[in-house]
Amino acid sequence: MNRKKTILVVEDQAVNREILCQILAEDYAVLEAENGQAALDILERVGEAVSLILLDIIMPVMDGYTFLSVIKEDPTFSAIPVIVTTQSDGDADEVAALAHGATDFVAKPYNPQIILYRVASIIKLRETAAMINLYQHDRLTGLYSKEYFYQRIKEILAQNPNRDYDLVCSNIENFKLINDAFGIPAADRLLCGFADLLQKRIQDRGVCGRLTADRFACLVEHHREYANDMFREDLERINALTEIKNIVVKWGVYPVRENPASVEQMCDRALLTAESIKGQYGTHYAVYDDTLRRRLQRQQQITESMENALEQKQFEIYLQPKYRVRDGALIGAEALVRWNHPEWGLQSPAEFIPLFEKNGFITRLDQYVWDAASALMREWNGRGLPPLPISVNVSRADIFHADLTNVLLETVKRHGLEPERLHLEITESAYAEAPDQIIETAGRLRSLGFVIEMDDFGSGYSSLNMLSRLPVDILKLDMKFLQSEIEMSGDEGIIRFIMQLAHYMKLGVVAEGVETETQLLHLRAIGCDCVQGYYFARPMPVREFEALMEKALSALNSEEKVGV
Amino acid sequence: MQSMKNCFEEYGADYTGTMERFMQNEALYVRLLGKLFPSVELRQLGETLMTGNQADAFDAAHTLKGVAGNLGLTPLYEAVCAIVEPLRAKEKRADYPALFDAVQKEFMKAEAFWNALKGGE
Repeated sequence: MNRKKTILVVEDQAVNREILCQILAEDYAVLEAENGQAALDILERVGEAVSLILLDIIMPVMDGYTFLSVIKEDPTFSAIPVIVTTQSDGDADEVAALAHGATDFVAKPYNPQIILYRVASIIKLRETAAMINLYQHDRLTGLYSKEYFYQRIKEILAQNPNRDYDLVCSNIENFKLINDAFGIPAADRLLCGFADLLQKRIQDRGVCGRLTADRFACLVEHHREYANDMFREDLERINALTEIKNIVVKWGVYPVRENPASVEQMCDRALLTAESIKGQYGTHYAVYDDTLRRRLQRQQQITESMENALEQKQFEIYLQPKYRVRDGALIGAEALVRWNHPEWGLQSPAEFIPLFEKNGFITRLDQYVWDAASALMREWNGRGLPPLPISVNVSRADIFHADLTNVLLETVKRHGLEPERLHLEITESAYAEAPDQIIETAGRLRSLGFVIEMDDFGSGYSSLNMLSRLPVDILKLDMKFLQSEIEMSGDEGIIRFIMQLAHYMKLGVVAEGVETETQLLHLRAIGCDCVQGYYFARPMPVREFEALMEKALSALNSEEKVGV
Repeated sequence: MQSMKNCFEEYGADYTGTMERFMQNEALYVRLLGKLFPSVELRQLGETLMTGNQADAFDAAHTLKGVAGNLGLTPLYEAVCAIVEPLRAKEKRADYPALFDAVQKEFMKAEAFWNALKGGE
């Protein structure tokens, strides 16, 4: 059952008041006040529950005009429509009432039908307006909602075909982290302050909208070229808004010129432009240009081709050998994927892997690599080659795949391998992002016999505490991290400490990215177990790696013969 | 019912239009009509006219006009209108006492009308 809407009748004459109540009683709940002050008291008590006010003008204590002025000043009540009851003796009262903010008027003597129709239509109008307002504006910041912002852009561009505009989108870096660290109320205050700043910046020269949680967009008339300092000043203001410090914001500018793209596309491009400078300290903005356009088109091409590439086996496994420092023995390989496209040639993983990580395709590619590496090891077994293990990558996205354990187990089983032949490399930063999930998944895989390697150790933020909790067999040290250490050649360096710690925790250590003899000598001096890097060998096609294996095997055989 | 309509006609008021305003509730009409007597506004009108306070006299007459109109008391309404308009226009006139007398007379007729209605109930 619908609750009746409430009407407040403000009228000092009991006769008039009761007539109005009688007229309204069937369709509405009616509250009565005998002057403006009494009406304000009622509003304070019931607030926005009042759908409409019927107001007399001449009253003792507080007259109708004063009452109107007070409620129009109060944001809580200013949206409540007011119908003024006037005498039908000239326009002056009506004009004065409307000038004070009344929505409409009805004349005495009352005509019940006119009153009922007018009341109903004004309430409906107000509700529709409230709904439109809700649809048009983001509730938190008061900026336009995404949908309405898009609509406004379309209108503005259509109405001003000869003007140049810029679409400026902003993105707060690590906003989720801010939410987590400072709490949602603080993050909301930041967003509201940011939105206010945008409004003040734009004033009436453009429109602003909130696209997603921390992404805002403004359409402004193009009037000057942008400079880093402009955005730096804004960033300083943003950092002064709340207790949250070191906020980083990136702005992307999409110049809207002749024949612009669709609004959605323009916003996407402005956001991608902002994203393109992510992590670049001191660079606050970027403008969408041909280079970026080409890069985005390229990403589009890659995305369109990836499914086919997998079906047609365009992804090839390359192997990078790992050696034991002590005796230089070949002890395994890391599988790296290369994309050999029939038209584009060999593609750099640095280009397509980040894209696949973003669009989720990495999971399918990883599974393809696991299968190919396992098939290869089975083939080696059949050919009597050494049973070397192959390390494969397990991406962040894989960890969250509920079926990961089964997929890996079935893969090795299908090829008749023991799980320990497949070494699983999980990057250190993934451990830091979702420690509980990773500890659980890696623990399960390890108990099944898989060897777990923590990749890129030293590049992320693992704490010693976390290291002690992780189910890991091998640490892979990132040489980028080790570089300055080795240049210092100090005896008491942190790398020595890591090595000692790893040995204490009974973890193997593989140094990857070893490029010079100096590095190797240093690693040997501090007791590193295994190495991998360009100094020894680049990632190579499978057949080349097999040649290395055969060579190592025949060297071993001749040593045995000599020994005999 | 017939007698009430007759009373209206005898008094010179519009029964149908007035009853529409009262949602055909005759008892309510009689009760609310009773609230007019004695009228504070009538007294105020007399006093303010005597002291020459035309602004307050206008407020009182204006209120009276609204109530008389809503109660469908056409003769009283017209008498009040005759005094409201010059007061609204802030006219200085010598015939305000006469206009007020006319209002008072109509008031008495209206009261008689009310009594008749009560008697007819």
